[in-house]
Amino acid sequence: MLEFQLETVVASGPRIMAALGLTIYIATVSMLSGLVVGLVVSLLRGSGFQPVRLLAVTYISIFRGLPLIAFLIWLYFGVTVAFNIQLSPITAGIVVMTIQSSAYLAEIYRSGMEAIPHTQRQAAVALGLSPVRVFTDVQFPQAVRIVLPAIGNEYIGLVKGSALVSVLGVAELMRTSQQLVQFYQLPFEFFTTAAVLYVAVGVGLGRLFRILEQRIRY
Amino acid sequence: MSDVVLEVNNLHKSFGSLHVLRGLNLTVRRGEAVAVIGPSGKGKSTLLRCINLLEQPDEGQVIFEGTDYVPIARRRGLRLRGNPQLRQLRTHIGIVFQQFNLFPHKTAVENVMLAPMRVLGMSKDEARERSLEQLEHVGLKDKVDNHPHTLSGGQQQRVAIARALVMEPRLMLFDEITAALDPELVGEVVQEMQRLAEGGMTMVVVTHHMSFARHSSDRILFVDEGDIVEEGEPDILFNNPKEPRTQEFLAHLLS
Repeated sequence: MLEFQLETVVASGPRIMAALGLTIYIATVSMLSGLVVGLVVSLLRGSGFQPVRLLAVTYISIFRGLPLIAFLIWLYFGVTVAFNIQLSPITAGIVVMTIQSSAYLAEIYRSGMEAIPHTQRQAAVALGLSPVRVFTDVQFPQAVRIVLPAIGNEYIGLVKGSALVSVLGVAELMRTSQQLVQFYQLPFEFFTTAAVLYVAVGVGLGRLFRILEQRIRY
Repeated sequence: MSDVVLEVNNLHKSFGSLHVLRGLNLTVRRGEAVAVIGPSGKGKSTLLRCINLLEQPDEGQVIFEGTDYVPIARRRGLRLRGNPQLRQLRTHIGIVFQQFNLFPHKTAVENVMLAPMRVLGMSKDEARERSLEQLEHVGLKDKVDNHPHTLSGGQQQRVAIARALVMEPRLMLFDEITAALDPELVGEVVQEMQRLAEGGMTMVVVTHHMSFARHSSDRILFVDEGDIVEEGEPDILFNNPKEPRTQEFLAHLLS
């Protein structure tokens, strides 16, 4: 084995760190918007009005079943051309990952809501609380605690998934590593660095969610 | 008639093919403590849940302070705000459940404060003050900041009682509130019901605790097969039950 050219990697540190920042940025924005969109989809899925429910179920089925890379390429190289839309590759990546994570998160929310005994809702209703208050004050806080580990998984999944956005030419961690490899001809060094950084972010997020879980324990 | 708080007429309720309530009639006067006894699974809990319209009766009237709420419950309110008249009714009727049903993510005092704040629109300070008062009445002054899972069953049930009482209900419903408790914890909870009965609270108490029914209630209803089989003053009903089914039930309890 050749010697590991650490100095070259270190010299590229600022660029790698900027790329890592973009990776985390894409994952985080997708996560946050996915949390909101997923909540809406989940609420629609529980609607008493069947067409609305059906729409939500269809949304979940489609975007849960579509491979991320197929969705990315379809949106960025297909839809934009067909409808003459201007879309930056970063925005396209965030849109795609938001939609996909919202489909997963809608199901995660549902499992959380279903894990709460129906007697909780009953007790709240019997006190005269409105359906909105029953949700915000009784069901939601309990559901959050149940689904937090699954949300942590989803977040880590988004960090990893963001590597696919590289196919659109976004200079996130994966794409930047490839460029550095081409420039310095050091594939092992730069791909190892990328791998280590992905794992490090995953470990960090795992710990962050463990702390959050402990914070909201009761 | 003005002292009639609750009037139930010809109440019917089925779950699928199971006809749980079969034309039950009941009148409760202000200040009266009515105990409902009878075999399990024969409609006692369903009766209570129809009184505050947690269950929608199939037929009959549930008249609380002069208003029949059965047709009101049939009207669907706006989904997000609920049915305002039903919500109003539920602020006047307190219920305590067999399984306590405290909110596990809230402390004892937060459990009690929730409805005063969110339903009555009280400020946090005022809700807290009143809730602390109620918890003190049920002997839990030193447990107000505990979460439910750190409390015994008896303590949890007393929090549930405080949570209902803080709304200053005009009628209290108790649904076998000692049935899920360890035997040594039953006393402290029954004591709270006795305190309320003596204080003139109007209440309907579904119970298997015969000593409470006998000594603390004004009237006993024996319910079986979805209807009242026999009713009367405690001593009369216990000593001289007229109906064979009542005799059998009481004899079974004493054996």
